[in-house]
Amino acid sequence: MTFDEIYYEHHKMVFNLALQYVQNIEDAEEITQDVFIKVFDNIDSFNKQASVKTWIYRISINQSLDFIKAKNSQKRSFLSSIFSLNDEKFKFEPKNFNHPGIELEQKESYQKIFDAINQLSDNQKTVIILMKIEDRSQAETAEIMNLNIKALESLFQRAKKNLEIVINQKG
Amino acid sequence: MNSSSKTDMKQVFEHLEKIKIVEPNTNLYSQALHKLNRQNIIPIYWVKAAACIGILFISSEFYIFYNQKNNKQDNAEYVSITNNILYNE
Repeated sequence: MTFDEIYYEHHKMVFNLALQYVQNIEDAEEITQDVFIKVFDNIDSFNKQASVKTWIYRISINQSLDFIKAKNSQKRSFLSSIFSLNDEKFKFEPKNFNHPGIELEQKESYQKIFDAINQLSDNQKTVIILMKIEDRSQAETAEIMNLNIKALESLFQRAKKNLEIVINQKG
Repeated sequence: MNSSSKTDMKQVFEHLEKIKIVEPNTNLYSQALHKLNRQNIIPIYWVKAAACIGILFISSEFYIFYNQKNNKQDNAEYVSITNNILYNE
């Protein structure tokens, strides 16, 4: 499989997944470019134990989470980054909520939901995105996240509970 | 979203499931290729850093070389001053 073929088969999936993490087009495009640079750099070392799709899913998730971490660390002051102070204050907030998959009239209610999703831990955020937005099955999600079904179910329940708490806190 | 927490979560997930798939920009492929090609060029920052290290190394070599030369001259002067007269004679 050539790089071109891999790109055209998976770019839509990568872009949409990145969009769910960062909720704006510019950042999602940057993540998509970086994902395919990683794919190109590591295509020879891909061990074929997982499918190409699963492999690209994993790269996309890691790249999106790294992108968010980099953005968050830019916001931190020098001292707070050394002493890990006020971590809660530095949860990711997109520079502008610009999700093209959402209708304009419903933008506000979606923004509230995504604000709450952004407060979750990396794994909880990922399980919600994969199962509820990307509509991946439990088996697919478990494979992508390298978890067994029981661990995935428990992770999903925790994510759901925490999401509910955050949404209710925000009102 | 109303206050009933159970309904809330059902509604929330229904909302999320309705998010449409978006077609990415057609230029994205060429942008990715451009970034990929740019990545293979050594960034100017590292070129400048290497040049600075080189200049520092060469100047420290010159400094050490001239210092050694001066020390040798000093030693030669000390040697030339000595005479063969013994004090006890």
